[in-house]
Amino acid sequence: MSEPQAVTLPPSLSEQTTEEVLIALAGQPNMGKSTLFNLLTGLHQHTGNWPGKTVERLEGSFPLNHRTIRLVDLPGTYSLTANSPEEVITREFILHEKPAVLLAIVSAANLERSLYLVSELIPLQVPMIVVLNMMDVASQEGIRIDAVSLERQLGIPVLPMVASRREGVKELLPMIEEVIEGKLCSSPNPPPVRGDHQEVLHQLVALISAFVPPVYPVDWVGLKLLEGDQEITHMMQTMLPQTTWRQVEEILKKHEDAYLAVVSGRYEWIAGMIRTVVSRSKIGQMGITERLDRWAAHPVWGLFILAGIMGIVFWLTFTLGTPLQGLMENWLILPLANGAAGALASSPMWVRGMIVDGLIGGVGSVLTFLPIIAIFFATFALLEDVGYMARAAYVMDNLMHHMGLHGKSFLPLFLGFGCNVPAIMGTRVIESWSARLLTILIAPLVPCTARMAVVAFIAPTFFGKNALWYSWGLVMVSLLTLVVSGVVLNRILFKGQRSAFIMEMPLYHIPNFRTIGVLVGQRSFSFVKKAGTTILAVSLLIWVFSYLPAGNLETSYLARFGQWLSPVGKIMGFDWKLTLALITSFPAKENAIATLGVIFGNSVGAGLANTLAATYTPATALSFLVVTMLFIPCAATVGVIKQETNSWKWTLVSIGLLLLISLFAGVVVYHLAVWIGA
Amino acid sequence: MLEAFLDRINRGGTLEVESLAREFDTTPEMVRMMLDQLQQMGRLKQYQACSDGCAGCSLQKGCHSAHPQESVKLWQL
Repeated sequence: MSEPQAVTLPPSLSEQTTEEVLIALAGQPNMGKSTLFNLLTGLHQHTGNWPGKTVERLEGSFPLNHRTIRLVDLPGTYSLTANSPEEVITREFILHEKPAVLLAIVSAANLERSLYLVSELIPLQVPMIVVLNMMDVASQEGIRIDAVSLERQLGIPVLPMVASRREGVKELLPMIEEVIEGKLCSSPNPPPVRGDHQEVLHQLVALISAFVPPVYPVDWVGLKLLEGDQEITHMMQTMLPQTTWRQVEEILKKHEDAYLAVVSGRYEWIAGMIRTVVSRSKIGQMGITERLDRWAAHPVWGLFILAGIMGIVFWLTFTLGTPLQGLMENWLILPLANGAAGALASSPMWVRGMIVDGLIGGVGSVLTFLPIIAIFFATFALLEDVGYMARAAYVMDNLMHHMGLHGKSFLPLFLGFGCNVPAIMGTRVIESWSARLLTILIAPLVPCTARMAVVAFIAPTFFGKNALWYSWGLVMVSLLTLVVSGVVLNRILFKGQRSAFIMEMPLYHIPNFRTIGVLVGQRSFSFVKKAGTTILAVSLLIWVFSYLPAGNLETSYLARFGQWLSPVGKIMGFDWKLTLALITSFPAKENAIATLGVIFGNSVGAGLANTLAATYTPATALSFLVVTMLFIPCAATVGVIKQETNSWKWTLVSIGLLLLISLFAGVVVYHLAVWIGA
Repeated sequence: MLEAFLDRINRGGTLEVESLAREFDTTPEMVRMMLDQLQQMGRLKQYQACSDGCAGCSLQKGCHSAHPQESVKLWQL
């Protein structure tokens, strides 16, 4: 924005000057103070530093009838509580220099914050004019301010202005003159002191009034003592006789809560004023956000909307992703496997087996669901980019809180939809150890994208067009388990203790498809990288154990290990192959598919999906998916749980808890499905 | 007002700026101011999503890359 040029003063105002009058500009940063200063003083300005401070001092002058106005631009401050050098400079200047007029620059677009400073300037008892700047910005944001009513409420002259367009600047000059000459009187209405503290203030004022230096208004000093202002407290301690100071100290000790009450009074004063002088029409993003959030962030409808959106995500994923996955399998992986088998026909059996079954069967199977993953990432990135994911986590947490669960788990849960590792690390924002521990224990129940990838591969294979509903149900089961576990653990760990957190959700945005593209690209690359590292390593290891000792899967070490575990798997409807797939999902969840790819590698010509559909019943598949969703998280997550809890005990509790929940759920779902006849 | 606001927070729950503004018959900006004030008084702490929990996370780069200045803001007791 170009610097505005000095306003041309009317001839009558530019005459020979005699009397010098000091006026000051006060306001928060970025309220247009400097713009007005430049307009009034033009080139007649000089800069320096405030005595003993590194804060810049801007001073200028301009003629106004027979007067020369010396204008001081005070540093931008949010309040006058002596928290910063700027605040001290501002209040000390006003109190010691007593400007003939104090121009308080406030922003019409952010009147609430601006009025806080005004509430602190009024008790300094200097003549004021409130310059209501940025009226244009307020108007653009749908904010209308009744300046007349504001003037009445404040008891101070108010002048609307658009300093950047010089609107209202000429009107300010006669107003300044009238205030200097006492023609424009004001009777400011300072924020009231609450009834129960008024008596305390009177007592303080009575004790200190004879000792307050003349430049300080006695009531203001009394208020500052109540607020615990260190500078004023120190000053009065040196001014008062010891006996009086002890009395003051006793009163202050008795009313330690007074600071909150005094500040609270200011907020009440501002809120009352805003209610009467400001009207807003919600336009643009704000209006849309508010309208959408009436539903999306509603404690009940929000949950239905979340469930509906999850359904749409799966519908999109399956409708677009499954055919693409089939194409990849038929046109890329199968020809590659057949080609490799042909090319390696003369190679030793184990080389062919390792390449075709281990490498292509394992990693290849996982890579076929790259389209599914990419679409899943894209839909989630879209939801994240438009701002919906924050609402999803909010309504979930709201539900949990209604059930008596700790509210601080929001952030980790929010992150958990992407990956459980940052979810566990995200619990660092929680200070209370027990609350953090609870969140660490339940966070792995948030369905991460790797688990969703397994669901996205298996669900369409067994449930066809109904895959959408099964996947949706699996997510709901996970979230329900999370809530129930949270409630139960909360009762045990916190004895039902409640705490609060406040959040501000981002505005809804029109999605930026470039950003979504970058996000999908990054996440897909991470997935491919994982396929080329962890999944590749596990696939090869699985193949080695499926080959040794005699090159026969049914008599291999892998089969023996699987059969040893099969009694546990059997109660959930698994054979040893599925049990092994589950166990090998520990290094990375996608390994479940890779392992099945290796084990069924011999039938790779038929495609893994078809082979699985021909081998297992839907009841077994459903049980497998439920257990996968609730099973022990991946090794990286467990490692982070150990790192964050710094305890093997709690790491094992987490593993044990999830193992118990998943096995129980698997048994129930399998037998229920068999009973129904799935 | 600030005292009533603090009482409300102390009662617990998952709270949101807009709904708090409705509850207190005021504007979201007033709620933000009170949150900042309580934070300044040391009664609340503010956190930004991904503030310190994401070090080393492979998804960090992609996280909130669209509107980093407008990611979820959180205040806790």
